[in-house]
Amino acid sequence: MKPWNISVKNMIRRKGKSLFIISGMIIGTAALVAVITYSDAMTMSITHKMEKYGANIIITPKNDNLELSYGGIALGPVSYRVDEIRESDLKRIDSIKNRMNIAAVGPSVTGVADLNGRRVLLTGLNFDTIHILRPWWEVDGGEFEHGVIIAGSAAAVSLKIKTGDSVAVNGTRMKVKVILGQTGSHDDNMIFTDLKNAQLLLNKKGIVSMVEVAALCTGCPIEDMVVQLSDALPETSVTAIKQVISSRMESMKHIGTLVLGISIVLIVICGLVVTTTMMNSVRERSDEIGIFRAIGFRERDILQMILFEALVLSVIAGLAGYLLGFASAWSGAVYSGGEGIMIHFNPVTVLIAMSVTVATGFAAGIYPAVTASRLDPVEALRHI
Amino acid sequence: MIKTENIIKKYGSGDSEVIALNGVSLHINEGEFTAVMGESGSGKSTLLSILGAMNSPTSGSVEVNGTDIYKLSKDERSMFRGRELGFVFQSFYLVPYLTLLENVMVPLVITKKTKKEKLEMAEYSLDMVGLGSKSHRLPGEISGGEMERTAIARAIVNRPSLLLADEPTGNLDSKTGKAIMSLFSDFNKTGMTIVMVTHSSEWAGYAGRVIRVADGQIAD
Repeated sequence: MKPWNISVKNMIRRKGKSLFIISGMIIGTAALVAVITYSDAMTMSITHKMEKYGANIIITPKNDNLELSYGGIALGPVSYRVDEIRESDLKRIDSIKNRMNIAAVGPSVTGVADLNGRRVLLTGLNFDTIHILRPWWEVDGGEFEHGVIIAGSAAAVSLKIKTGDSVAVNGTRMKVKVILGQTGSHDDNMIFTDLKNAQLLLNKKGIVSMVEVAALCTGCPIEDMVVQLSDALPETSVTAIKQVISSRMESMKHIGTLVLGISIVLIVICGLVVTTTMMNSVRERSDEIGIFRAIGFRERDILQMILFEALVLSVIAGLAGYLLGFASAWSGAVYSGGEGIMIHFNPVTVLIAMSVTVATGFAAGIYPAVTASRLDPVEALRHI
Repeated sequence: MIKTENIIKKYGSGDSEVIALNGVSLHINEGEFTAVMGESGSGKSTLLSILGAMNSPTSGSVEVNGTDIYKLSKDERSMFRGRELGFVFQSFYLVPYLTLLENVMVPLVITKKTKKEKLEMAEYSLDMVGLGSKSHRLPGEISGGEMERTAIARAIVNRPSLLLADEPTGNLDSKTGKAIMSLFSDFNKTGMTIVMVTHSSEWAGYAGRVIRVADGQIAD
């Protein structure tokens, strides 16, 4: 028989007390896990929803434009020099450190073209990334394909074109595949086709006017990415769309602060429950501890026995609390109708839950353990 | 074996100060069976706790087996108790969730003996008090006399040189008390030194020497 055998037998004998300590810790741990897991899922959900805002980094050629505006009247830029971006240079984007945070890269070329005898602004896009970079497009015409025209809603009205029409763009006959729904953006006034086709029509083979980048932003270092992209493409100007980024970061910061606050309160409550219950247990066992001390147990032997109990109970509570917390978060996500909230198993949460529970249980057990170890055997037994 | 010099033990301070022992000097030889008698509050239990290395005297010295026990550190004194002394208490103080065998084994838990050695020593002690057949019962399943015998088995499991007993028959009927006293006599015959506190002249009669304590002093 070893000292820990006595501890285990004591915990089994005092099932009610042990269960009370464990249940307090289970509730604390479960709440902590549920809050962390649910907020993680919520953050991911919010992030995914925010991704629908489209690109959050814009790469444009460096230029010496001088904006001419006065008194709210914009006269347009005076361009002294405009560098263009070579499409082949865009491969360098794949070499940046945070390339894994890039969801989509959308190069585009824009120029003035002739459509059925009228001057229009034609933009060539990479159709593969349209769903990420322009998720707000309402498309009723099915899949995009090479060599077709997509018309903005206002442009279609102005040009009197409709889906299925054949139009001549810079002398090349093309079919109108899609008329976009109203977006409220510049897109409403433009004509689109695929990038390669536009480069041919505009005589800008291998040239792009602008690159839109959608970065996945669950805590992604977007400012760092801007710097990395600027380094990779020194001939360009890389800008982050601050409003989107800051709103994403602000939301996550608020959620994180809330989770931290709730967690600290839960941990403190959990620790107090353990300390109080274990102190009661030590008082009830003073005879027993007194006899152990009288027959030769040292202070450290008693200390180890009580701390061992705290440790075992904490580990059990940590595991049970994690399972309960995960189940609660899962049912919360399922039954609250939280759209797009997906609960995932996260080993880091297990690690956090176990570490916090065991550390709290252990720390909360220190005071009762020290008190028990310092029990005067004569006092404990009242008389020998 | 035991040598005390002018032990004084005071509890409290100022107006509430109580002098439990007031200059106790005594000498108990190895192999002696000594009964300590006295009225309630005379200081006999305090004397026993001081001899048992559990209660530091306010002044004076206590030597057991040549060791000045209150010059030892707390840990050393704990180990000394576990190694050299055996205690029998009036209220048994058995651990309710351990079997009789496990209760007897408790003092061996903190020793470096092997599992087999611990088991053999505990079984031997239980056999000596006649409870070998009930070793796997819990304290709640046996009589008061059997509990006391289990407590005695626990006290002797480490083969202590000194057995200290505080009213070991206080909660027992006369017949069981006699059986316990017989056990003590048997232990004493093997050379074990015994110091027993008792109110009863009958039980004191089993001892070879009787010390009377009154008002914190040795009366005779």
